[in-house]
Amino acid sequence: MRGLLVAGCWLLVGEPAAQEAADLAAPAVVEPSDEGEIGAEASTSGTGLTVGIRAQVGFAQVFSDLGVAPAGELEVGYRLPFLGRRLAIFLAGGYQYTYASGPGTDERLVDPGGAPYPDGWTWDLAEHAVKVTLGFYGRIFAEADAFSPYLWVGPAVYFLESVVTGESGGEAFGENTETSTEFGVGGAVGVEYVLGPGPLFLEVEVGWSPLAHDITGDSTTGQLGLSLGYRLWL
Amino acid sequence: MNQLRRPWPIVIALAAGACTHELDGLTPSATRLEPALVCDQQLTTEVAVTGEGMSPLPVQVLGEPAIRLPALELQRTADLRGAAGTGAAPIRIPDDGSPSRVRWTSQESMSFDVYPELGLADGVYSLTLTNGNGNASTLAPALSAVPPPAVTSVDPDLICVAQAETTITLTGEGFLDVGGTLPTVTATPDGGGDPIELTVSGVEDCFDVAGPTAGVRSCTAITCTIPAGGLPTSGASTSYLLVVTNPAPANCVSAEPVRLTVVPPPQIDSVEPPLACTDALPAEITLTGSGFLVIDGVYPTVTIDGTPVTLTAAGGCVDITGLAETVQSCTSLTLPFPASAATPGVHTIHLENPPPADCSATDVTITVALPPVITGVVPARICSADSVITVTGDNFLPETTVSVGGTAATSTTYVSSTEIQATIPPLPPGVHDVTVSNGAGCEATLPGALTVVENPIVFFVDPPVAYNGSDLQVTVYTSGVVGTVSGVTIALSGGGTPIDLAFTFDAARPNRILATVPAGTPPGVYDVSISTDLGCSATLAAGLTVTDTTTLALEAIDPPFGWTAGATAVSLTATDPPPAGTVPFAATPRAYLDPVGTGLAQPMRSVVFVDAARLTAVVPSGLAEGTYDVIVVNPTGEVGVLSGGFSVGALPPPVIVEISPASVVNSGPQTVTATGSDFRNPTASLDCVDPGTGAHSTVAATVAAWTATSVDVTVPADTLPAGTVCVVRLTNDDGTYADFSALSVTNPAANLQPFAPGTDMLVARRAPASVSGRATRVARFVYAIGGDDGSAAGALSSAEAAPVDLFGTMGSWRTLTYGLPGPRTLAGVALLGRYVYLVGGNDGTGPVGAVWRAKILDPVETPEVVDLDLRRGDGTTGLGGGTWHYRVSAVMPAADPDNPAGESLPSDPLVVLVPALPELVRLTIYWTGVAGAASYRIYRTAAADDPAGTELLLGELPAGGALSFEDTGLAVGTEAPLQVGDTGSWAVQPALTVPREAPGVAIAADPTTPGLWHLYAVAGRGAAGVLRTYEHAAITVAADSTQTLGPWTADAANLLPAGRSQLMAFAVDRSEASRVAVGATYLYAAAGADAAGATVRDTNAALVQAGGTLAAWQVQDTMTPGRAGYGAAAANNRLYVFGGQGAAPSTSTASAEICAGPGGGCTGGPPELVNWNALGLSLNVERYLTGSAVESAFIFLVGGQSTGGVPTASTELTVW
Repeated sequence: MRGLLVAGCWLLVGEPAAQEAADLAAPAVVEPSDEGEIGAEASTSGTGLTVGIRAQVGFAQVFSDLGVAPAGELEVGYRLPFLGRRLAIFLAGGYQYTYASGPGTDERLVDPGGAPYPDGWTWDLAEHAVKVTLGFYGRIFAEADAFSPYLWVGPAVYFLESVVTGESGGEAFGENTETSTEFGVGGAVGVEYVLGPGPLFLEVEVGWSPLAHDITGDSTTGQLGLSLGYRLWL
Repeated sequence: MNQLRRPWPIVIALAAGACTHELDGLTPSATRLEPALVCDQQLTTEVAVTGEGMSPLPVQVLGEPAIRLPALELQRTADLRGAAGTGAAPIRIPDDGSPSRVRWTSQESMSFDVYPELGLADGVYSLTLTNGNGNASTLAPALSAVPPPAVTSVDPDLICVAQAETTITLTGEGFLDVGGTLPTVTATPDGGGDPIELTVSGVEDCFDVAGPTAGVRSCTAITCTIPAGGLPTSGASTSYLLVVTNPAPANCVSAEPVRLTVVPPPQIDSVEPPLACTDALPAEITLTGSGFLVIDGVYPTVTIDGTPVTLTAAGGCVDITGLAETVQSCTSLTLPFPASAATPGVHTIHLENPPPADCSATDVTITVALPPVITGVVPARICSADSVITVTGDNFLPETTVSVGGTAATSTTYVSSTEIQATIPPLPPGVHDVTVSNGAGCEATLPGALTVVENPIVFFVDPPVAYNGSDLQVTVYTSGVVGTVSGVTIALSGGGTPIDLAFTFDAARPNRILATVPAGTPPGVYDVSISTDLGCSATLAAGLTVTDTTTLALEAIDPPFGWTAGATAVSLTATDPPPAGTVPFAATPRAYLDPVGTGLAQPMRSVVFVDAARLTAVVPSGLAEGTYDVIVVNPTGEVGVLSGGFSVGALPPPVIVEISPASVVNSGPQTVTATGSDFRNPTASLDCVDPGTGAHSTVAATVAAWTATSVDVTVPADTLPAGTVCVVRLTNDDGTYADFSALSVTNPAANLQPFAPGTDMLVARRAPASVSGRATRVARFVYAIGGDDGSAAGALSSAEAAPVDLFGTMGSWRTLTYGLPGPRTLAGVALLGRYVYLVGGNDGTGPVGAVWRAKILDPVETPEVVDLDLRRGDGTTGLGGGTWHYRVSAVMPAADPDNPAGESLPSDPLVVLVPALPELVRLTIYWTGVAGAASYRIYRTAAADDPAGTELLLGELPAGGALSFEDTGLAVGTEAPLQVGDTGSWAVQPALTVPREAPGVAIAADPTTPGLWHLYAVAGRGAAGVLRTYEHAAITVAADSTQTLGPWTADAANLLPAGRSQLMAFAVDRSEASRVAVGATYLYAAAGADAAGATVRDTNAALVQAGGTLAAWQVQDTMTPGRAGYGAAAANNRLYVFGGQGAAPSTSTASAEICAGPGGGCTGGPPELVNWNALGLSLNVERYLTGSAVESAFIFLVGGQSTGGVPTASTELTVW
């Protein structure tokens, strides 16, 4: 696991990755699509670069005991200049937060008189994740079309932090934090509709990575998200 | 709650921390442990950790949430003396067990356990505290771990602590002094008991214990102080286990079996001799007691009057083990008697055990005295109970003892050197020596100085139940009274106030005290006590019950009078059935006559329990004239009273001997003449029973004329139905009366009433001899004697009898004890008074001429049990507690004319309540003799509390000796005494001049000589055939009613016209026929059978002449049809015959009238007969050769040959 994490880190921060991102962003001329007549205001004449933003509500409980996870993400992409710019690659980074709490019992937790605390103990867990995704995007119709379903898929790197607190009998345990990095995957299907300089999109996304902290135990960050965003075609 | 609060810093942090996996949080720190001193064995010690940042880490919260507590590790860093540690591996306190050895309370507080299994070695430890996130800190030194105390020895290990404080020292290691707090030491007795904490006075040889706790020392010696009596002992020694417990918090205990033995002080229980006589000084003194110690061969120290004495021996020694020393505990010590103690006086002996258990015994003394002298003992005679005597003499000491006959006095009281008193325990009766002793060999004895008499006992009060409505004399039966009785008291059982009773005591009969229970004594159960002039006393608990409740349904006494100079037979009746709340008679009650006003109740004699509703008894003569209450007391305690129910007059009551005629016809008033004695201006009445309803009614009759010996009574016979049976009562003007049973009423034809069945005999008998007789005036019986089983060859020798009441009702038959001397059938029989004469007959081989006689026994002619005595048995033979009944009968000699070798009726039962004594009881009864008796038979109930009437033969004593019998608890035999109604044995009388089978037999009074009677045997079958002759023998009746039968005289000149047997002879006088002249008696010889068995129908009659010779036989009316072997009766001016028609079984009956005078077929008066006619009634059973008997107005037919020639056991009766 640790090897994978290290590999993940190298992909994200190492030079090859940066060069590749630069290469992806490099094409400046985008050939018109053979089918560019669809969408009066859409044009293949732009740079092909894309800047997007999305807001997301994730449902982690589909995969784990974590709860609803609000998230936000920015993406930068390049629409490949062929097939009517139906294909694109992008790099997205975002943050998501989930929360869980629960009770427990442990007779080793005793009051000053030596009797176990009658209500046991409780814990609160805040799970923070920064996710970087390299996505491969394709839409059904050419860019010229104002409306098109699309999908994307790609690997992701999760930067995770578990923060746990607890108490028993009113006595706080103190806060403990555990951090780690995990590889994951992501993908989505959605529809977009060109509105202005870019499309407004709505998509259903699935994201997942392992979560193996002492605090959490063996779990996952996986969630099923519903995203609404806008891409600006430059 | 965690929130989305820092997304971008987190992003930055994540970015910066990429490729790391980190867990972080608080860092713990411990500042101190409490306690910081623990015992590393035996105990579990909870140690509190105080600090900060001790943070539990929640883990696996998305799976199975758990807590990762901060980890605690102890590391030994130095030994207890502070030397550096050896680098042993750290010991982590486990937090995953159950229970957990680690507990968290807050970030500032945790705790953990130090326990034996943790394996801490002795030494000083640091504590490392590590949070779940890995952050850690160490506290050093944190903890000192010490071992438990260990005891290796105690010095001394043997002590006596009862008399002084004692110090002991325990040696070992690990004895802690924690800031001045020292260990505790306990002593626990072996064998159980609570530990006793000793006082620790100090510790020694100590070093300071290294570690965080200051002021802790570890020592190797403890000193304890034990106060006097601080450790109790039992027996020769007590071993205590010593245990050291260190002070908290390292309060481990020692486990080594080190013991302290504690012995008691020596104790001298006795000095032998306690007293020495100057003229017999002992060579040695022996001290006996306990706890005399011999330690390593060293004896206790003994001094006498302060002078040491060297011991010569010790005895009864047992080893005390487990000690460093050789120790024995002994129970005796022997020392020589020192010359310094030989002077008279008291000398002190002191004893002290050797160290280290050097306790002393309480000083004792030995007395040296002069020998005692006895000059007298007062009183010289005492009771066997506890008694106090005074012994006088000289040289008595407070220690002087007294014994009598070898038995030590219960206690002695020293009065002076010349007088001493002693309480003597119960001793056996006899003469005893009295001994006083100042000690062994220092004694004096006065031989025969004291006589001990037996303490009396009271064993029975007769009667045991007294009615408090009268003064009642009771007999208090005692045993062993010596001297004079000085008092008789009764007291309610359970502690009532004693009531003194008036009493009489006859020293000649010392076992009987007559005491009077006064009228008005409160009812209840009383203890009865007596005392004697010797101070003896005895009490019978619950010996007398006094009652005031009359629950016995006593109804009447008959007659209700007697007279002063004669005994009166009476019957007492109870209401039958008894009313609710009352009871009938129970066998056998006591009956008394209590004079109205003042005076003692007098007991009746011969009380016989007939049944629950009837008693018979005899009122003795000699009672004072006056009126008496009748009191009957059941043995079960119920009392019945008839107030004023009996009167005793100065003149004798009337007696009706007979009534003539005994039957009257119911056509107009009829006159009957009662003959008897003592009639005084009488009135007459009848108690009649209606033949149809059985109802009783009283019928007035009129006295037509009277003399002192005869009363003519006019009976309103025309108002009574035929068949009525009446008891005639003549009442004198003083209220006394006489009853006679019975007068019967017939129709004008003088027909008898139909025969009613009687009770069956026990044996079927053909040709029995049958008579009716009376044991007393009211005890009447029908007898069946001999007979055969159907043929003469089967002649029987047995006899049986059945009782008959005043109205003819028969009871059950029973076999009489005395049968005939030999088999006899076809005999003639006649009764005069109590004597039954059996004449002739057939002994199974042919006609015989023998005459036998038996007497119906008189209940008065018996021994009388008059006294009894009792003594205690030996525990193996004797009577147990309970009620016993005794009777005594006399056995007459073989030459006795009335009852040869026969037995009398038994005495009234003597009821004895025998006390239950462990030794059992031997009882002697005394009785008055019967003149001429050869021996006496004693009967007793077989077992205690058996009912009266079940007595069986206990033994027989010859007459001539003392009339007493001692019952040592003998087993009874099987023979029962005779019963009322029994006859004596049969006596052989002068024989007939010729054998006569089935003769006619009758008895007639001599017409001129009072007291002379004649027994006749008429005809019969002789050896050669039927006879025509008769013969007679005189019966002389003496003043005492005894009878003598003279020789038989045959009258060859006066022959019957026709010989016959199986005939009946009737002696008829005015009792049977009023038509017969006064003083005349006719003898009738009725029909019979000839030699061939054919009937001879002749009836002949002859007048009895002076001397017994008959006038010439006259031929009377011929009996048609002819009969033989019939039953017969003469009554009411008639001759009756029953059955035997044609000399065969038949039910026919007939009668003939005795002529009153010429006319009506008669040519003259008696003895002429007229008209043998059928009676018009039939027997219930065909009879031939039947027995017949007449009892007043009743005619009984008994057995005979019946249908088919078979003998019958049936009986039947009628009234005439």
